[in-house]
Amino acid sequence: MTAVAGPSRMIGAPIKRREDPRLIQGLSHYVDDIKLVDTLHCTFLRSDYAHAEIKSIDTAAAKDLPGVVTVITGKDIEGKVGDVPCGADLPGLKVPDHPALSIGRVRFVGEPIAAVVATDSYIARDALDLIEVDYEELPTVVDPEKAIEAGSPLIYEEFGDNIGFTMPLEAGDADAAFAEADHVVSGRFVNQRLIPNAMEPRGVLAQYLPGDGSLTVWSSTQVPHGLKTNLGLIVDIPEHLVRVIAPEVGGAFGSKLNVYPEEIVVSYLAIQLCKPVKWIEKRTENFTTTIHGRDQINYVEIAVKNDGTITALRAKTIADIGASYQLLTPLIPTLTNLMIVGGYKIQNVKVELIGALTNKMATDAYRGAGRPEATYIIERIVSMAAKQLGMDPKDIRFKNFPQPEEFPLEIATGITFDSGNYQASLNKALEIVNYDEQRAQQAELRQQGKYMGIGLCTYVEICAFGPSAGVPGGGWESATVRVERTGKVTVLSGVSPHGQGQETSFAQIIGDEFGVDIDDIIIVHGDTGRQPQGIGTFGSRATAVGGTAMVVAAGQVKEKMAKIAAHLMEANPDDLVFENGQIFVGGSPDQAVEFATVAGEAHTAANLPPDTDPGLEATHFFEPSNFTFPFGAHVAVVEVDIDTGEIDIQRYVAVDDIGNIINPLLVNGQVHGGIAQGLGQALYEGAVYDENGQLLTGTFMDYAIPKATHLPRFESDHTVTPSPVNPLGVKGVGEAGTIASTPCMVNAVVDALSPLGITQIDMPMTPNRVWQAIQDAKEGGNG
Amino acid sequence: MQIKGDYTVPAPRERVWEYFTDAALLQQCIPGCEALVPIGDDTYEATLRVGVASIKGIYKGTVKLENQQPPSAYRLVVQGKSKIGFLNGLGDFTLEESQENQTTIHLSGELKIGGKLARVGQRVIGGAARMMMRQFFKAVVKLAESEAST
Repeated sequence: MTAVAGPSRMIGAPIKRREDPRLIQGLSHYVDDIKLVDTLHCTFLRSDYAHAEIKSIDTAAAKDLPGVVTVITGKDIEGKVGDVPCGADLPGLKVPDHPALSIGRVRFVGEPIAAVVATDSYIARDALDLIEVDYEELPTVVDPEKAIEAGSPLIYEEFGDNIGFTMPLEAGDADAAFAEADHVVSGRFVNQRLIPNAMEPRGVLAQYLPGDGSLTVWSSTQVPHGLKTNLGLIVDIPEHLVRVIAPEVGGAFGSKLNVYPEEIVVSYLAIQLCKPVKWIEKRTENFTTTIHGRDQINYVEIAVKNDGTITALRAKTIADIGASYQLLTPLIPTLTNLMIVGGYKIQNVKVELIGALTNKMATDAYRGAGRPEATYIIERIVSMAAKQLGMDPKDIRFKNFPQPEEFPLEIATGITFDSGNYQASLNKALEIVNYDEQRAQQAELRQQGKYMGIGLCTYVEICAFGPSAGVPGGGWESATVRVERTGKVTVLSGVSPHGQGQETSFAQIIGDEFGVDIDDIIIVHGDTGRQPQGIGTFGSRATAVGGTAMVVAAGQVKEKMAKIAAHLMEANPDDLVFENGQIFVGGSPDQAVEFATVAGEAHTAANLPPDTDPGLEATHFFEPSNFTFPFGAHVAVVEVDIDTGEIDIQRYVAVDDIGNIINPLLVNGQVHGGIAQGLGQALYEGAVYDENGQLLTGTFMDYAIPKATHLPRFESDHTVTPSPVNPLGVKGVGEAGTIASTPCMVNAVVDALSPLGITQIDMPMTPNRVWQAIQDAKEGGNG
Repeated sequence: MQIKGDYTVPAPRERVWEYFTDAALLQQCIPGCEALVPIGDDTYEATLRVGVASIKGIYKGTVKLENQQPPSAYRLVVQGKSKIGFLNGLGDFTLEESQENQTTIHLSGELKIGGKLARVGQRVIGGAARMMMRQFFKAVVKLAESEAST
């Protein structure tokens, strides 16, 4: 395996994103920008009821509207296309049927019932109003704790209850540890339902060519390869005749790591009609029918010794999984179970997870996916324990950290942390924020009646999904590296960046490998026609797994180029150095052959060394031996106005150890964006359904995502503990900010208000909620 | 959503009862009511034009009078839908002769809305419902006053 060779010039450099000029000039092509001749437009009729029997659907008037080509319902495609797939495979998982258009019954508001195809999107939209659906309303259940009680209305009668799955996990002897504990600290936590809100909603364009039987689908997706394989099976087109293209994708955060009903129906319609069919999601559809995130209720307790040592953790999690499964729905909360001990050596664990079906949109992966919940649980309960024991929250953390020399470290839940130095990142964060001074100032301000708080979060997260044993569909990644005849480098990647900037960072990696200019390298992604095999971009895996695949493939090409160059120069290939577009014997840069010349020789093929085939191309499939486990420490300093409940964030320090850094600008962007979304959850966001299953936060008027003015200046820094599981030593940074920032903020606000006796405020900590907690605490105190 | 209200009309209870059960008079008083057609079984087919902000639109559906105890009480069951969702409600009306030639109507009901109407309209629907009730009773009062003066 070839590691990064030569003096590193581009890895580690803050190179500006090569993607941005086209993005900020409006020169990108998203799905809706792709225009094919004779395209028909599709819209979906969606359920207004959260739970109802469909007595009848009358589409006659809609079909009669001039311009309408066809109207289909669930019955029209029953048996002709497969179900919406769920890739999770848990023991005892009850998997309901999930037709792309509902048949007979609807189970959440927004569930697609019928599809209209018309010559333009306005006619299609008008036709929706002409479809008459006769519903018979059924009892609705939206509260996951009520849903799993006996006697609750059943989402699926055949299951007998609303429990989709359970996942118990036990290690050591938690009950014995609790029996011996000096202190037991307990809490009930809520990780509210969130709406991912990617900037670009979803969209699909499908084209079927009856001549060769091929289906091409443009979709705003994170996983074009998974979509290709699944769609082929679902609409019955052989996989090698299906091509999926993810053009420019305007963000996803996990919400496009899926196979959606619309992708299936639009593909089916394109095949039936032999014309291109397009559907572009409206924002209101995005709110209701693109997957939601989080939505867990956690009952947690830890057993603690007088010296702060945490000996055991017990937890019960109720995860609201909604009314049907999307691709990874049941799997997401299982990550909460795996990561529930955080970065602490807690040997005795007993946790229970219940997946509760409710009349709501399915939950699935949203930035962090199960780990923000785990981190919130452990970081809140550890801070509560420190308070209860009268310890500084930093000391209880240092007390329970593993030592750096203990890595790789197998933890109680059965996974092995690849590397770590938790002391270093916490020490650095404390130093940057001037922790001792902040505590002194806090004491002083309290004398003045001001409520300042300092919140800590020391997190560990799981990234770089693979290995394949832990990822449905495979945890490897593929890359093809080709040096063209002119010396230009083409890299075809199986990952599918959609805002991460890897057309830049990957080019830095390859640029260093070949010693060529970044402008001579292109990174091609998101097209199964160009790179047929791949897994995709999610779980902060693209650089660690996809980047490694391409560095290995590049190494193979480089080896062949060295052999050809050595033949031309009559040198030893092992002595050759690739730098500045030249290949030369180390120490003698004046005796060089151009990189492009060697590329030309490889393709002219008239003067190749013996036993050398023409061409310069290699494909590598990289399978990592383990996940990576980035970690870090975040510290927030806040002041709470107890008259208004408003929170002023005065400092936000993030020290993230993500291993080696390819491009610090991109890393900062990921950290900033991650924290912004985490603070969104901590302070503003929350998807609210009423008791009838109606989504009340269905527009940006009612669902508050943070704006720039809502956010503090982020102070981002790093410690570097390279991962041993990939040659780049990288770990992944996409989700760290989102994972660490929610408990960090709640810890800070609760710390600020602790003189009032407040021990917990649920997210989002809106001024109203904080104010109410303050009033309750005052009344409690007076009473 | 719960709806409650007390309204006073300057007319005898028997006359108010007639207002509430006469389709033509009702249509005259219900704001935006474009049609109220009896289809038998104390049921009417109604078309209502609502002009309030995000819940604007034409609502079509049925109105049914149930549990009639003339002239003191009845239940109104409404089922309607528009392009942006559905609206189902029921209201229990009790008519009390509070003074001579004066009737106080107590309303207690609940309203369920769904679809986009719930997503975009939930913040205005309560206010809109109260406003429409006020407009309705204002019209009824006017009707009673005009009858008294003739």
